[in-house]
Amino acid sequence: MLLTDKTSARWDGNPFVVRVSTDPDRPEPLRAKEALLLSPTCQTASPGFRAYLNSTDLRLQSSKPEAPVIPLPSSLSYLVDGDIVQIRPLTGDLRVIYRKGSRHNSVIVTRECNNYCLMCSQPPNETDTESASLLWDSIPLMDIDTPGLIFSGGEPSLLGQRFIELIRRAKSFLPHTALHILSNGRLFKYLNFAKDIADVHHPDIVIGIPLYSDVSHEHDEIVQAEGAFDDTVRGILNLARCGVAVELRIVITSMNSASLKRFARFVARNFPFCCNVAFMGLEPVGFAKTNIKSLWVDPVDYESGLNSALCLLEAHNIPASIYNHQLCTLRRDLWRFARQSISDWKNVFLDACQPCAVKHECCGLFSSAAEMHSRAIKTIPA
Amino acid sequence: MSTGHQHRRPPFEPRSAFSPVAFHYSLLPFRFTKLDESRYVLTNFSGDYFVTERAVLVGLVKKTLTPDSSAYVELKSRHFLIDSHNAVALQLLATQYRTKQQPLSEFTGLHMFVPTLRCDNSCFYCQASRKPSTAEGFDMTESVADRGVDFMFRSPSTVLKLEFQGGEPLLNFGILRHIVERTRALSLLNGRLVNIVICSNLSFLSDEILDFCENHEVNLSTSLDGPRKLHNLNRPNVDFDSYERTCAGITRIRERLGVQRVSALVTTTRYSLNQPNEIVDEYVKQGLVSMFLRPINPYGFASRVGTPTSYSTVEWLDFYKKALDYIIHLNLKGVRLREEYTALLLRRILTPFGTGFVDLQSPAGIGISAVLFNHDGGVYPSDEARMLAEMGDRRFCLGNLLTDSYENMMLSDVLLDSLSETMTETVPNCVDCGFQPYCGADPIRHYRLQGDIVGYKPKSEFCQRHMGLFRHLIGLLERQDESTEVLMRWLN
Amino acid sequence: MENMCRTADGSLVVKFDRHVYRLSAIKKAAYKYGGLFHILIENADDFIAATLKPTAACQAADVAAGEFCNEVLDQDLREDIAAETSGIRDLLLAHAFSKTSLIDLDLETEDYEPALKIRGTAKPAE
Repeated sequence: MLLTDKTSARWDGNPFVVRVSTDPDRPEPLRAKEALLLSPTCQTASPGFRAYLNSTDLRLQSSKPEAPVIPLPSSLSYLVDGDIVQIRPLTGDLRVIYRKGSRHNSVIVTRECNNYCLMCSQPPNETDTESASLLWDSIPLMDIDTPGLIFSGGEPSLLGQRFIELIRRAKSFLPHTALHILSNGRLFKYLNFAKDIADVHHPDIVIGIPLYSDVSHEHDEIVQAEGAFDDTVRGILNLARCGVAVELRIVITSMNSASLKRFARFVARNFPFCCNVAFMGLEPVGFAKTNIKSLWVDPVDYESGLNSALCLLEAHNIPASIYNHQLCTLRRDLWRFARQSISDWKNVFLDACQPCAVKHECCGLFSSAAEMHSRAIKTIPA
Repeated sequence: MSTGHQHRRPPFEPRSAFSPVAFHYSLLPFRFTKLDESRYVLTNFSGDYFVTERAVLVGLVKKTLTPDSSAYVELKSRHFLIDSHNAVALQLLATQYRTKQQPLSEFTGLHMFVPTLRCDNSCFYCQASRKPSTAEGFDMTESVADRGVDFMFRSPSTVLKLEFQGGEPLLNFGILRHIVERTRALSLLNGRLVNIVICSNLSFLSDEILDFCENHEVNLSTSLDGPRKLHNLNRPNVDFDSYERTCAGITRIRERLGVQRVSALVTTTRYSLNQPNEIVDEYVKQGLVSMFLRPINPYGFASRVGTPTSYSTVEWLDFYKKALDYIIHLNLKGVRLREEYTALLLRRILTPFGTGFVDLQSPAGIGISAVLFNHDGGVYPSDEARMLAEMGDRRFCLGNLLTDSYENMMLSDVLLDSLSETMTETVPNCVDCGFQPYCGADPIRHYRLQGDIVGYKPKSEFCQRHMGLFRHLIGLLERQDESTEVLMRWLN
Repeated sequence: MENMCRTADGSLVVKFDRHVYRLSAIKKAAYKYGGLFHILIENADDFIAATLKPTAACQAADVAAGEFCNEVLDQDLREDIAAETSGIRDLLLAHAFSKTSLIDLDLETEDYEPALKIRGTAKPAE
C-alpha cells in the first residue's frame, strides 16, 4: 500500500493540506479546508471546497483555479472521509499524512536531523522549511477521537519553540490523543527545553528516544555523530527530572546484538524511570538498506541475549517490548513482549505465514524485508 | 519516500573515527576486595560491581587496558573508567548515588512502641529481658503512648512504619488499640501513609484482635524457628505448646486476612544449625511465602556466655548457605518462598535504589531511620539501645517522652557522635572495602561487643557475617545459572 | 622484593623493598591483619621490616603471612586509585547533594534556541 504518489496535474501554488470528504452536501464552513472526493457515487462538484480529488474517468474541471480538480491515482483510491492529504501543485506530489481509521498515524515534523544513523529509515535532508507548517495546518483537521499520533522526522526538536507550539496545538485540538514523539533527545540536554515540554502539561505524552548502546563510542558510531551519546543521556535525564515520560528504543543490528544484556543492565541502573524499553528489528529501507551488509543479523542468532535482556528488565520492574520481530523467530516465552508494531501500509506476510496459527497476533514483516528476513520464518502449527 | 531533495553529506565514517584513544582513560572512584581465591569484586561510587581477576584490576589501575577488550567496555558501561567523550558518566554516577541516599532525606521511618514488657514465653535468647505475664509496672500508659504518637508525626517521612515490640504486645491490647486509632486519625489529617505491624508470638490472637487488624490494616509478624521440637526448644511456654499456638495463629491470620498480612522470621540458635532444610520445610508447610533468616543478637538473655545461643559466625554462614540453597532449589520446583534478608541485600547490590533497612545503613540507622519508645517513655535510637539499657547500660538512651523535647532527644550528642564517627565511608577498613556500598555501621553492636562504637572490623562478627553474605551472593550472581534467575525474581 | 624469615619465638619477619612498597600501604595492611598478628614495623635504609607474631587466633601463620604480603600490594593499588580519583569523588559528592548541576552548569540555564542554528551534518571530530 502506498501513502504517496503523483497526480498528472501540475499548477502554480504552494503546498497545502486538505481533509478528504465524500459528502457533496458538506456544511459550507467546513469546505474551505477539505477536498471533495469525486467518485462514481459522488459526481457533483459542489462549490466551496479547497480542491476536488477525481477518481472517476470523467474529465472534470473546476470553475475556480484556486479550487483545482486533481486526478487521483488508483494507488490512493483507499482514501475515505477524514483522511488528510498533502498536495504539492508544482510537482504533483500527493502524500497521505493521516488516515482516520488507522492505528499508526505518524507525521513528519521536519526532515532535518542532527544525527546520521547508519540504519536510518528516513534519511535526513539539509533543509526543510515546510513540514512543520503543513503539520500545523493538519492538526485541526484530524479527528478528535484519534487514539494516538506520532511526531517523527528527522529530528523534531530541531524546531525549538515551534516544536513546543506543535505539541501545544496537538493538546488543544486533540486533547484525548496520546502523543508519541520520536526524538534523539540530544537537544533536551538544555534543561529549559525539557522544562518547556513539561510546561505544556500534555495529558499523555511519551518521548521515544533511540539509544543503541550502553557505551558512548558504540552509540556514536551507530548514529555517526560524536558526542551524541552524552547529549542523548543528558536529554533523557532532564526529561525525567521534569516529569516527562521517556521510552528507550534500541534498533538491533550486528553492531549491538551481542551486548543486549549489558545494555539492559545499564538501563536498569541508570534509567529505572523509563516507561518502556523497545527492542526493535531493523527496517531495511533508507540508509539501513545502503548499509545492510554491515548491519544485518538474524534474530535467531541473538535470541539468547534478547531473552536475558528482557528477563533482567522484568526482574527490575521495567516494562519492555519487542517490535518488528516475527513470532516464529522468538522463543515462546518471549511472545508476551512482542507487539504488532509494523504500520499497516507497509506490512506484509509471506506464504509460510498464511496457514500460521498465530498470524493474527504476529506483526508480520516490513514490505521492504520480503527479500531479507530471518531464516527461521515458518508456519507455527495450531 | 522520495521528496525530491538530495542529501549532500559526507560518506559514513568507519569505526576507528569513534573509538576511544587507546591507553587514554581516567579512573572513576572505586573500591575492591577479594571475592575468592582467584577473583576480586570491584564496586564503583554508586555501588555497581564487577568481578574479575587481579590481572584485570591491575591493568585497569595501571592504565594498560585497551578499548577493544571486553573488560574495558564492561568497566566503561559500569562507570569504573571514563574516556574522552563520556563526561555524562559523572552525571549518571551522581544521580545513582543521590538515588541511593534518598531514604536519608525521609528521616525517621520506623517507630517502635513497646506496649508492655510482660510476656508469656520464655525464649532463652530473649533480648528484651521480658517480665512474667502477671508482673506489674511494665505497661505503657496512655500519656506515654500519646506523646509517642506525636513524636512519630514530627518526622518528615512520607511513609511511616509503626511496629509493636515487647514483651508480648497483645498482652496490653488496650494501649495498642489506642495507639493505632490515634495514629490512623492523625495520619489522615497529616496526609501520611502509616504501615502498622505487631510483632507477636500469637498466643493471644482472638477474633476481636483479628477484626481489629482487618479494620485498621494492621499486619502481623511472628517467630517461627522451625519444626515443633526445635521451635519449642528455643521458645518454651509454661502454659501451652508454643509451636501449636504460633502455627494456629498463622493459619488463622492467613485465612482471615490473607497470606500477605503475616510474616515470620527465624532466629537461629545452636540447635538450629544442623536443620536448615527442616526449618525451610516448616515454612512451606505453614503456607508462608517469605522467611527471614536471622542470627541471634548479643543482648539480653542471649548474651550469656556458654548458652545454646553461642555459635561462631562461620557456623551461622554455613547454615545460611545451606538454607538458601534449599530455598532456591524449592523455588526451581515451583514453590513460592523468598528469603527476605537475601532479597534486601540483592536490592542493594543490583539496583540503584536505597533500602530502608535500619540495620545496614551508613550513616547508621539509629535515630535517623528508627526510634523506639519503651513502656516507661524511654526513647532509644534502636531496639539494641533499649536492650543495653535493660542490661544496665543507659548510654544510648536519648531521653524520655514525658520530660524531654523532640529536639533535645534527636540532637543529643550521643546520637550525633555515634552517627558521624562510625560512617563506613570513612572509618578504617570500611573506607576501602569493596562491600562498603552494601554494608552499614552498627555503633551499638560494636560498642556492646568491643567497647567501641567504631569497632575493629577484622575482629567484628558483624563485619565477618556481612562479608560472608556478600561474597556468597555475588558468587551466586556470577554463576549466571538458574539460581541466579531465582535470585533476580526476588528483586520485585 | 619481600623476604621472609622466622625468628626464634615463631614470629615471621618480612622485608619490603622501600623503593617498591609504600610505608603507608604496609601500615594499612598491618592494621587489617591485627586480628591474626601482632605487628611491629621498622624502618631501615633499603627496606621496611614487618615482624609478624601470630596471635592465638592465627591458624596457619605462613599462609596468613603470604596473604599479608598480597594485602600490601592491594593497599598500594588502592593508594594509586585514591590519588587519581579523590578530586572526582569530591565533585561527585557535591553534585549528588546539590540542587542544581555542578557538572554542566551552562546547560541548566542556557537558552536552547541559539543552539538550533547549528544544523545537521554531525561529523566526527578530526
